[in-house]
Amino acid sequence: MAVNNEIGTINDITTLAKITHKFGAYFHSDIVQAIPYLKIEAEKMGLDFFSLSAHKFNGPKGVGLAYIKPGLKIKAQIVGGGQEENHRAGTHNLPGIIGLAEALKIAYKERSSYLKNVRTLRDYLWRSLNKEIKGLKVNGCLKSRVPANLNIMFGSIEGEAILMDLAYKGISVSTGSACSASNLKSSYVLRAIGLEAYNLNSNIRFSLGKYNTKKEIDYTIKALKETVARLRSFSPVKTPAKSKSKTKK
Amino acid sequence: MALNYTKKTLDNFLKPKNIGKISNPDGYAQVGNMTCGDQLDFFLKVEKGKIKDVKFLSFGCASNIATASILTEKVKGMTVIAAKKYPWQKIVSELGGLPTQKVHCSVMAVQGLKKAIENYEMEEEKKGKKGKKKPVLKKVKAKVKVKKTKTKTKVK
Repeated sequence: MAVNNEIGTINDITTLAKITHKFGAYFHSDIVQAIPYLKIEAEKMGLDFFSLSAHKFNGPKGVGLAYIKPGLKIKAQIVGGGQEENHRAGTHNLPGIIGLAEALKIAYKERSSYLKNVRTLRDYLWRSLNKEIKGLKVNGCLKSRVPANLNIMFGSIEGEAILMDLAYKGISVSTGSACSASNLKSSYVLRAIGLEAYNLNSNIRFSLGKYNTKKEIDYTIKALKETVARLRSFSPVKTPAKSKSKTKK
Repeated sequence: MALNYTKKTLDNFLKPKNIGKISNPDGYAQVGNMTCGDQLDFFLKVEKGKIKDVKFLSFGCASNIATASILTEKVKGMTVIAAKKYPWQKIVSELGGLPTQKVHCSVMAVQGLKKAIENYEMEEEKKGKKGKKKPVLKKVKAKVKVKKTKTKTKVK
């Protein structure tokens, strides 16, 4: 992944591609989370393959894009027809393809103003939450991440409970943790960045988009403050005593 | 992603019944832990073999809270013997069903309550032992213990 899907941190795929090539292997990257935050230059970055799907940048659902470096050949993914040079049988989803291309164009055309706006909102959200609610921590580096992502550790309250409580107030957030999945596995990403086992189930991801407004962020701050206070009021686990969480700006 | 909870489950999550602590409880137990992703603490007050009051604390998801809430509602006033046997299936049906991956929450809730009742019973037993039969019981216990240790050493 060029950008991590849970914590939004930016990975140095250029270096990773170099290392991969040193061992004679090809390099593929899922770059969907990087749109439009990073400028993708396949050749310069050493990407042999990359893939993305349209719905992550306001394009239509059900259509994706695969890049294959000219000269490389891959095995057919769906056999049975000659479409896409024998790589993927089946009729093209033409409206999907046009939608994806158009969404991609718009995303990069509006890139600089979007980045500025979304960063302002995201930073405002974090600043306010950190001020209003005690014991919060950002998962992953705040600086080296895309400006639309905020992944917060709450401690002492469970992620899915936060999610459900917010859902009831009309706010959609995400948790990759135990309770939202059919299995009981917590996020391998959070585990990999060193979260203690007992903290793996109390994290929420906020993903902002180009249609979010300051009014919505203000509402979210107010709602979240109430949600956290309610859930903490009957948690058997004590709220972490940290007076101030680490904030990297 | 939000799961498909029934209205009753959501109600019990948003406005849980019997939430909180009881100071000086007659029975107390904790099940689960933060690492597993859910934990319940149960507190009991028992009078004449009946549950006079029951409360719980939760670190858990919506259905963890809802199942404990409905369970505490249902067993209040029951004899401890009956409450101990309260089946998790009944919690599920009371809530109008639970998503498959959430059924374990109801199991955990009944386990927690059972543990709290057992804790109460143990405390009661201790109180009883302090009365008449204390010396006799101690002797028997001591004998059994010796035997056990012997067998263990043999196996090792």
